[in-house]
Amino acid sequence: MRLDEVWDAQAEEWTRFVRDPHADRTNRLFNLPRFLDLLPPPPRRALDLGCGEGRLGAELRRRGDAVVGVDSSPGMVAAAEDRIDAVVADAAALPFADATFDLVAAFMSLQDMDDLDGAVAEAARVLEHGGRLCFNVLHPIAEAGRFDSREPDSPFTVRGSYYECARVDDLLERDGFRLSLSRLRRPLEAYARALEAAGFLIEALREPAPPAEWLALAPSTYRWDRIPLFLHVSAVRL
Amino acid sequence: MSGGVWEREAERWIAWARTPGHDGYQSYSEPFFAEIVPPPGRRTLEVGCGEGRVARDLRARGHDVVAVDAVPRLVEAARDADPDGEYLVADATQLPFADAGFDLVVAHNTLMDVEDMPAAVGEAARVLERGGRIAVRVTHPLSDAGRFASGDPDAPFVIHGSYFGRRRFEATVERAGLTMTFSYWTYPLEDYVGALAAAGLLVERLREPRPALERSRRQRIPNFLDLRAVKP
Repeated sequence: MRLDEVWDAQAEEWTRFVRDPHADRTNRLFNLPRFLDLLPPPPRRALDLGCGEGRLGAELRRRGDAVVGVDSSPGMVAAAEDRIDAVVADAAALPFADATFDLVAAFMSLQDMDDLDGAVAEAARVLEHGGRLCFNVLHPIAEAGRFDSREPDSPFTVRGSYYECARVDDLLERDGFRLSLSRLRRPLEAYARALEAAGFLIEALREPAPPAEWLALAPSTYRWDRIPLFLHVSAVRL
Repeated sequence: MSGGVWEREAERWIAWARTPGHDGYQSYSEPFFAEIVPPPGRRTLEVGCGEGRVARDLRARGHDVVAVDAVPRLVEAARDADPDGEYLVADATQLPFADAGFDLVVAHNTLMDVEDMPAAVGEAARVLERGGRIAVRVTHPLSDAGRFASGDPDAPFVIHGSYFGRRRFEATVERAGLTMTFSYWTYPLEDYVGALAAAGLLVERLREPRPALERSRRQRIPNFLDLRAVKP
């Protein structure tokens, strides 16, 4: 199944997972708060690009931004509409005029797009000059290898190539949830080339350290104290 | 390496760098000059020139170059190899130049060798004019975080310690009768981009170059990280 088909097919299950107060803890405790730290302050005219069921968009709205979300999945957009205005659209062909927004936020979504260059180019088009594209993805280093074991001090080993662009399908089966965390892994350079081609300059890049409360969830979580799990980038369109 | 380490290693480095085809410089210099170094402009400053090979290559490409290094023996060797060039002993964190005197600063495998990396980046930004650029190569943060399990091209690359924070990298390498001890600071990617951003420099290009040699382990794990940043 294509990436977008995988996610559309599991939109309901994904929504159930994200909205469960005991689930999606990596997002709640770690990834989302760190991402909000990266954003320019509100109020913004924001596009939530690859909005999914709306977990980021809801936070943007809460902090005072005017938000609209897009996703290629009708199932995701239907769920997101509980929380924000959202429309079904292809990230590489956005249904907005030039310079509509001053912030495009792509929360864990660029890794789910086959046409990265097209999505980043469209983000530039719909941004006004001085506007920002803020995105995060699983860190290319984290995607390049695996921990040898679940021990806190387990070595992290790269057996293949850091450079490989490849489809990854990780099955998450836990607490009654069953999800395919499907995405594309790419090296850092692939993201940098897409930004450059679209006329963006990188003004901030973070490899956020996990907070203590997330690390403490399990002995195995401590492994991520040593290897960056997420890559967060803020790029400005001059 | 900090000044003291490079002073001790200066003679070994001159031999290492100047033996043709001995180290990776030839394999990797083409992508640096083609993609990261802009065409010659008004005036180029090279920081951490060592025995001078990057400065010589910049001059060969038409740059008007001033090159500095903190180690007097290396600056002497650079002058000997290129008597018409301009080589000075200077500290990267206290450059003896006025503001905005250059349109290009080149820091090729230098930032790992200063004690205060953000200060060196700040000084580079200070001496750059508006619209000027910095061309940076550093050892890749992934590469410095771990090591190959063996010499095989498909050897696993293993990280035992932590990628985060500033750490000391130490390795002694013997090759074709020459020995070199490398000792320098290594940083995660965010520390480099953070230093550039704090200095008001925005990254316009980033590359993770691969060597020409097909069967190299470096086709799997990048050796270097190249960045070009602009002072808006």
